[in-house]
Amino acid sequence: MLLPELLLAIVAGALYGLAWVFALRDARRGKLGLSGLVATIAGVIVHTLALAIRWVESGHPPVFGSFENSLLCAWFLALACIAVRPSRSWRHLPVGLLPSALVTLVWGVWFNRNRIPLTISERHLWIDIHAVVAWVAYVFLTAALLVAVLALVRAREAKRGREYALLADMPRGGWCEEIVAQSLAWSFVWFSAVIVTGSIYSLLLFGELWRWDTVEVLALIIWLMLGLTLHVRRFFGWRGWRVSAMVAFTYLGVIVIYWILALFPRSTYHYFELPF
Amino acid sequence: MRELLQGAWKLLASRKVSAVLMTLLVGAYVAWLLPFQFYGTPAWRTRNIASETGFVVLGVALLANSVACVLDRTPALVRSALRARSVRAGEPYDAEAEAIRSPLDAGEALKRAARTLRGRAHRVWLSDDGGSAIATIGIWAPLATVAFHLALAFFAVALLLNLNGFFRGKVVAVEGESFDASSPYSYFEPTVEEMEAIPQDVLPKGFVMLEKVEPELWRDVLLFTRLEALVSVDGKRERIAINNSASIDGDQLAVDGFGYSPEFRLVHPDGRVDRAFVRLKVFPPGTEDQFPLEGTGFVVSAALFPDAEVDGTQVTNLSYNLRDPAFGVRIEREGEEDARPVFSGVLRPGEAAGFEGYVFSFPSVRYFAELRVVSNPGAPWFMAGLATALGAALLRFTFRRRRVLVWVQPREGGGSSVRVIARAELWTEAYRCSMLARVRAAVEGEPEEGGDADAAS
Repeated sequence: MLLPELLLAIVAGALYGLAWVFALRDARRGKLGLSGLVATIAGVIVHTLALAIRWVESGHPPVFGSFENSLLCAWFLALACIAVRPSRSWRHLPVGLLPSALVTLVWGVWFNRNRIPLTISERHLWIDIHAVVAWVAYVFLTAALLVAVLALVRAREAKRGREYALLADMPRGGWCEEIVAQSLAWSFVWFSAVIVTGSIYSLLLFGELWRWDTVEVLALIIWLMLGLTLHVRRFFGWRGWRVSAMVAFTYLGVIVIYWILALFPRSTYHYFELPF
Repeated sequence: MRELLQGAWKLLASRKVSAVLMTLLVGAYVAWLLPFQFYGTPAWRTRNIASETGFVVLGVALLANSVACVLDRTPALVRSALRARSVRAGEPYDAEAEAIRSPLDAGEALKRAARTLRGRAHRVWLSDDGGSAIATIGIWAPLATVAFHLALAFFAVALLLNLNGFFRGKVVAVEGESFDASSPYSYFEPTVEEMEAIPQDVLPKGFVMLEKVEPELWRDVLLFTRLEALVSVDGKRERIAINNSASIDGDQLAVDGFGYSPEFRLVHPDGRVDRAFVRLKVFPPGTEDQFPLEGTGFVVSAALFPDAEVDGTQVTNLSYNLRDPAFGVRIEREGEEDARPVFSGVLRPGEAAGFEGYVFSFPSVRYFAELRVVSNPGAPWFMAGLATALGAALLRFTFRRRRVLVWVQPREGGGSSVRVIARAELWTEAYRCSMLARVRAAVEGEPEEGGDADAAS
């Protein structure tokens, strides 16, 4: 039997797909229409209902297991699409965020969907805070990747002397670099918050703030990469493909820590899945 | 010598060195630390790798470099903040200025520009000759960067304190038992031999009594939904869990795991009675463990079924909760485990097994708890470092240093020429466009009627 939250997630995914089509159309036209916003809002409403059902039926916030995490992550990504709409620089970000939300939902569907209670080590307010902060950071990191790709494509356009119609209304030149700088900065702040909240919970759970667990090592690598990227941008004037390459490498680590590590359960004390 | 020291300091405080060190550290973690971990390497082994010389040297170098950078640049940052109100001739960014034609006279144009900028929370200074103004906001913001890097020094202090002061021990106690936390013999981890290398003052002082262990598992699967213990620490009762510790002499006491500790009773043929609790590794249910019956030459192998349904010799375990336990028991002669056992069967608590004149039973079962004691003197410094780093990063990117410079010159034929530069740290376009638009709107307006009347009178 199909779980109601899965069914609603599928409907939300379909609405995000529709919103994406409208977002592509708006990007080509160079102006925002209402249909994309309406489809996104409808998707978020359905999605919120899915999360609420999951919360009530499982007895805990949907923050555990790849299925619940993908539900929550996709929700944050979709919410970001609504939040950026008023901004001239960021308003076309849904072109990249909506497919990210869709892919995230599809990824989560392949994992265990059973409603299981939280194991004791996951039952704490700090875990809930850590999970929420982690997903907000993920949205900023995804945005950083998207704008880094935009900067790369803009550089390629300049080199080849042509422009892509899809990007016509998107930031270019100084504005493009500006949003790269902003996304990097806020990714750094939020990812620092992920490390801080995770360390606090590690202290509660193990009596130690840092244990060199795989998750912690990966988080440190990502944090150092973000810091390094900020440094080379600010003090050595790095722009264009070099910064984009650093962001892409950092994002690879982000994908591993958020999604791939769950496939290696014995490599970490940070539980991502339980086989029930 | 002085030049050598200056050169060394310059190198230590160099941003290029920062970038190189960060790159090396990332490379070292990716190449050497990370790959092992994907094969289930436990945290203690990874930590051993991370504390190898190469990592430590890079880490210490980065820490020293960060502190040196901060010390080297803070005076300049303070000076530039104090200097922010002055406009020097020949500023390098004159070429960036946006030129605006204003119908207002120079003085009026400058006043309106200043008023507009004050309305946007800027502090404004007018030059003595009335020909320019400088408006700033967030001039002290770069000091948040200083605070961020100084937070790394807190981590260094934490690491130093933990070098000799960190202790992590494990104690196993049965319900109803107490132990002395200051005695090395109370701990099964570290071993007694390892304890000899640990300073005694690191161990917490206090007596702990384990009153009750309360595990709860979900249905019939190995999923803990609750594991709490009621302890008395120096007479004070506390409820602890795996993620909720009690304080013992300022250190943490928490429960890490549990198991079953059956009590056995052996009546010898001569009437003597032996009775004791044994800590058996019989979790998860169905796992068999052994213990000898001292002085008898017999060995007991037992498996515990905590919530058992017994049908003859068939035992079905309904859940992992200790509700209706039963033991699968096999008693053999020591050294003759391949021979036929002297007893094999299922015993409930209170039921006895007789063999060769002996009477054996398990009168009761209690839980035992695996308790962890952690002494982490560096923790408060580490927490302070984390809080400072996060707060400073947030402040830095929220309150950036921003500056608007306005020059005015009268124009022939009336009005004035206004030049404006707007700059913000880190990202500037939005601020620049916004401030230029506001100043333009202010200076391109018509002269006020009241002003003309005042001038006339």
